[in-house]
Amino acid sequence: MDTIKANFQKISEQARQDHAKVEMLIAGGETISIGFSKKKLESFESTQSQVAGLRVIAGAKQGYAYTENLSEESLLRTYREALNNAQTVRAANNTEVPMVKPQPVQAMDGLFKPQEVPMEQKIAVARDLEEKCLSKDARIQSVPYSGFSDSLSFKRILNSEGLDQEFKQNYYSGYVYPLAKEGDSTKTSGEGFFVRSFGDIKVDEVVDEGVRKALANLGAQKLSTGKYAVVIDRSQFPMILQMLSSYLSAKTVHQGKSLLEGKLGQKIVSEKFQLVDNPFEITGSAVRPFDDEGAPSQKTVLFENGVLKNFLTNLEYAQKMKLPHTASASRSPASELDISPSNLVMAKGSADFSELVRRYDKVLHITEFEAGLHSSFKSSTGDISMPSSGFLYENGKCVGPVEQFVVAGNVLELLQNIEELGNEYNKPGSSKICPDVLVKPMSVAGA
Amino acid sequence: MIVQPQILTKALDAALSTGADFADIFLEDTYSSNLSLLNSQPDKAIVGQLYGAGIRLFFGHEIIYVTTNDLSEAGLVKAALNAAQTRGVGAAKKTLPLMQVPFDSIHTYGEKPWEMNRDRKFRWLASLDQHSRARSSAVTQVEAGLNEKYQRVQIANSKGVMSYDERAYTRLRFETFVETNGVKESAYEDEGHMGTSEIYDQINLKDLADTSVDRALLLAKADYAPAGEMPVIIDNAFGGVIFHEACGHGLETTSVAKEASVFCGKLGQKIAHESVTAIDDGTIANGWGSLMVDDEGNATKKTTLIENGVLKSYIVDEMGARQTGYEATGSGRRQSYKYAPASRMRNTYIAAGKDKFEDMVRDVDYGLYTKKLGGGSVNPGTGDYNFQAVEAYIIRNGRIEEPVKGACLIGRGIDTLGKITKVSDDLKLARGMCGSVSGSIPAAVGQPQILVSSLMVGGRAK
Repeated sequence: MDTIKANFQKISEQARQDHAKVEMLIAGGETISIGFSKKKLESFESTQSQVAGLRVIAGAKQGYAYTENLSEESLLRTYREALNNAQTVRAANNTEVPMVKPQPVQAMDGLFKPQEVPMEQKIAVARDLEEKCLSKDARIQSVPYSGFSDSLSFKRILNSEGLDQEFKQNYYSGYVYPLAKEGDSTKTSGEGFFVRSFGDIKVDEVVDEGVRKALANLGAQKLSTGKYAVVIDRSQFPMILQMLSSYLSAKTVHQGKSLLEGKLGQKIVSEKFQLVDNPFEITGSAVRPFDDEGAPSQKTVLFENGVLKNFLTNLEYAQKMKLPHTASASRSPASELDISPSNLVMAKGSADFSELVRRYDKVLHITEFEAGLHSSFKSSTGDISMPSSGFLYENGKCVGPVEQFVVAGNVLELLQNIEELGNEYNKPGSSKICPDVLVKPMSVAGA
Repeated sequence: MIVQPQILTKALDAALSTGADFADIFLEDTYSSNLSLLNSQPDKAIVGQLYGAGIRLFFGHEIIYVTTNDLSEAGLVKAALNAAQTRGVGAAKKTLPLMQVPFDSIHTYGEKPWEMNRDRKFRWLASLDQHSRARSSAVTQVEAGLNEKYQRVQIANSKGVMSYDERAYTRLRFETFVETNGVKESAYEDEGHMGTSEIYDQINLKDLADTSVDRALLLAKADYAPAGEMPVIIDNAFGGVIFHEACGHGLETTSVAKEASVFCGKLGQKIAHESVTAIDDGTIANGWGSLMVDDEGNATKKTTLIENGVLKSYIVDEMGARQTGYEATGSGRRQSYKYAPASRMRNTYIAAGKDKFEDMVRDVDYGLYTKKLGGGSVNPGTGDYNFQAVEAYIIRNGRIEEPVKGACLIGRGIDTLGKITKVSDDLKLARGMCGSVSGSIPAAVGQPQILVSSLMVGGRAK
């Protein structure tokens, strides 16, 4: 028996004596990150992490504690803190919080394939990412941010019902962020990759695309205020799905904070909008064979022809709200049990990009939402106010880059106004897989 | 003290064994507690511990950084050797004898978070809930949380410096949700400082609750902001986020050394209207973004960044000092040992001017007054920034009139600096969390009220 299991059994025994149940989530990993600046190695970071998070269930109450010290003594102390925390909170009712029982999970091949790649090759990828950007075009002045990472992550869940599941994955990722300058105009643009095999890294493609985008934005003009049909680029639409995702949680619904409350079975967005939660989609970054309380993963249809089909649940909220259990429990060792999607996969359409920008006389192609969710989205109302940049198309032809405008409205209205979908998906490595999206004319605030 | 100096010396020597010309070790033991209240009841309690070390080596301008959770002698030496062997091929160097910098903090702390009675903490949260619900029957929910962090750090470097610091942070955050005439809205408030939680016995929590409820009700009836370029008066306190985003990030050597900042090469030049003087100060007693020593073991400082419109200093960490030749400003900061330090802001503000707020309003025929700003972001390479106004009013004919919501301010730092035409005499600071290359750290922002003669307001097209 390994040390973790042996230590957990002692905690579990203590919990039995305390008339409590306990779950331990251990998550961590190893990452090597390499960055170049001005054609010289700038940083080489090798980080390791391992955190144990204990969830103690005492009847209808739950408490949490975590530690980075995985010794027996530290874990037992952390267990006692979690038990104390469970006794601190109040339970909404007297229903005992359920715990997942051991069940078989679907094997997922191809996620954990550590390779013996010489360090020099990894450093060469980081070097090439920067140097090739610099030599691509004289207008590329610098590459303020670029880097390569080799990552391995793991997650293990043990509970007092006898469950013990482990999941590991490794992947390689990198990015470039070149800065282009011409006259008074300075522009940056980011591009990256995410692959599960070192041999699949295509530095030239990333460099070409990063440089192309930075240069294309040079000389951007302000946009006049008005209503514009909008194509939200497939690289940016994940942000819209992120806004939607918290509303899909049964917990959010139960707390009265979801705009989708009471809408199950209703058509609430465009019939073009189809959305599935797919934890098995390995091009996505949120792949998982089991959720964060150890329940075997499953696919869940969320929207079909614009109709809301399901909310996402964990075991507790499936029981509490009498909804199907979708195995969508999520937490980190340092946070409470929540509910969140795995990979959200939208159905794509059949239209080429050129068809999308021809649908209206004027179409605004948004290639960058400049602000994060924390400032551009208000969850309690669904209101969005998103500073953006992109390109203006007139009669299907690109007129030029535009900047400093704000797309404003409401996220549900935006989803209702989806008119057409592109026929290509965004690049692998996002947990939101989606095509370009044409939205009917909406309010855009500019100069 | 987390680890004895002789152990640190062995680890530093191991780090220098292959030719690194500098090494430091950052050790951390941090207690965190996160309590929250929902439906007027204690809803969540999580406590935890971070315990680890980050070892950093300089080979000229190259940085090697490794982390470990094993703070034993063997664990630290092994991590240091791993780091050294990653890149090194040169001759070994030795650490200078470690000299302890006296720990004599200007910040005062009360009861440690793990010692304080938890019922007392929940009473503060319950009081916010009760005051909010008493303020208006339109309140449907109150979510309140208390986050406490107590960080103990020990830093030693091969130049012989050994420092120790304790940083306590506490932050009360809550959001009130209202529903009135079928319209749902919410508003967020927070209160926090560098220190421990007993301060909430002195703070008027009723005022805080009333402010939040009143703002939510105001937003529920407010129309959306107009769009276009117009004069904007930005209020004091959190209004200072404009300077933080628009300029502060571009003054960090993390950007400057890479020539990824519009402020590169502008030291000594006039970069702002002469009414603007800006400071980054780590020395304010119990200030939200204050330090005693920074995360590189250097004593923190008060740094004048801009004086009467002229750029006087960048924000410089050790590597930034090497790369640019400017002296370090005690500004090396990081979220935890999991991040290598970088040059970061502390308490950053525009100094008080001479103008009166009332006169500034009177000067505007048609514009926007932003009373409270929300979050924002900046691209340091271009200086393009944006931030949201969570409470704003139209100014018409020199008077503050109806409230508007959904206003987003967009600009380019260097342009905006030149358009700050008036600076009031009423300076206030406020708390924020700043995210950048070395993680999320407490940073205060601040300013007096300022008038920007023309700024892009992204509202809604009519």
